[in-house]
Amino acid sequence: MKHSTKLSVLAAALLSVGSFGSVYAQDEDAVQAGSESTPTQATSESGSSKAADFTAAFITTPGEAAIGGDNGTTNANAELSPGFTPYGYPSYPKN
Amino acid sequence: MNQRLKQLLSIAVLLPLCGAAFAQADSGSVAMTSNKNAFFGADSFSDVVALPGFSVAAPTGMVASWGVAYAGVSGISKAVYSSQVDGAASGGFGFGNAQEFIGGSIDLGIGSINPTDGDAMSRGNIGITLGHFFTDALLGVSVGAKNITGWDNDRQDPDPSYYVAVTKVLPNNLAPVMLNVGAGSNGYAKLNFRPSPGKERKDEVDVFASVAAYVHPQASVVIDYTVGATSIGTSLVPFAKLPLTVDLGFWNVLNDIDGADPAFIGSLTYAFLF
Repeated sequence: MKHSTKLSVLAAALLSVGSFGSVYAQDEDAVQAGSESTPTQATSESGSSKAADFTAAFITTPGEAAIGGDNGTTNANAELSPGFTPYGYPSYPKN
Repeated sequence: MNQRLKQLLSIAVLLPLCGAAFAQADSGSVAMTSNKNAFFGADSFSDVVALPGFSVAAPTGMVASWGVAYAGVSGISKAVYSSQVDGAASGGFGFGNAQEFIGGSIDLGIGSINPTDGDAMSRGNIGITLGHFFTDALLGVSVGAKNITGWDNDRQDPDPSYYVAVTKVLPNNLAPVMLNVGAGSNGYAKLNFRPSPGKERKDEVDVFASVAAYVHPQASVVIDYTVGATSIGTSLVPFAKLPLTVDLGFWNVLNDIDGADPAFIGSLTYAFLF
């Protein structure tokens, strides 16, 4: 299979999943029919914007309620991932 | 423009679009979610104790600080060049303070933990990462050295690998994005590299990159390009108050690596907060 074909398949798969998400959202809205308030796309339950909420997650201190990026898990992902081990390990491939 | 670069750029453009669709689903569920401790019950990023990851394989510009330790395991369905199921384990702890001055971590990685292949625990390495997070710019920069010391049954003195990485936080109200780029030597060089006289992998330097869209406070979708292989995946924090991260994905999805098939990968990481 050519790379362009693979990319198309990949893109279609991602978009399909995204489309499913949209449909799901509509269903959720339907469930909420009759509710006095309709949540806006950009507003979280606390009223702050999603962007501000996301930003705050990166400027809090480890151990506080929300930690982002510097919690060690992303580092662990890189360490654990096959990019470094097992197949990307400096000694690989074995001679 | 390089064909591979075109493909990666295309995927990078598609990712936020998919994220937008997911974000709509997320917003639609905000009003009816009430139990933050439930399975994927968080309403906002401030509800989760740890954010999902934004890299499958690439080192990141974000570093740990004092107050965090972690341990985890990972696996791949077909290890490159052996096509066997294989796994790795890792642990580490943070030090310093990346926001106020310099933070970082010391990590131990153990390769090949499959007890049935006769190669378990045959490789291990110690690495160190230093970095700073520029709060105003929402930009993290790190330098790291992997395998500064360790053991390997097949080689007496494995070579270290060095990298520099930059991560930019791109908040938005639809699906926040993390963009991560960098370059590294040796273990981060393309797997397709073939040694020749006077040219060894340890002297090679190649770029890596990852981009992620946070489609939910507890889920991100990630595309990654490291060691010349493209991966796609998702990172999940299933329970908002439990710093357990589950990563699932497909490595080498575009079949970039000679002699290696695309493979399923997964990891499970737990962060200890103190």
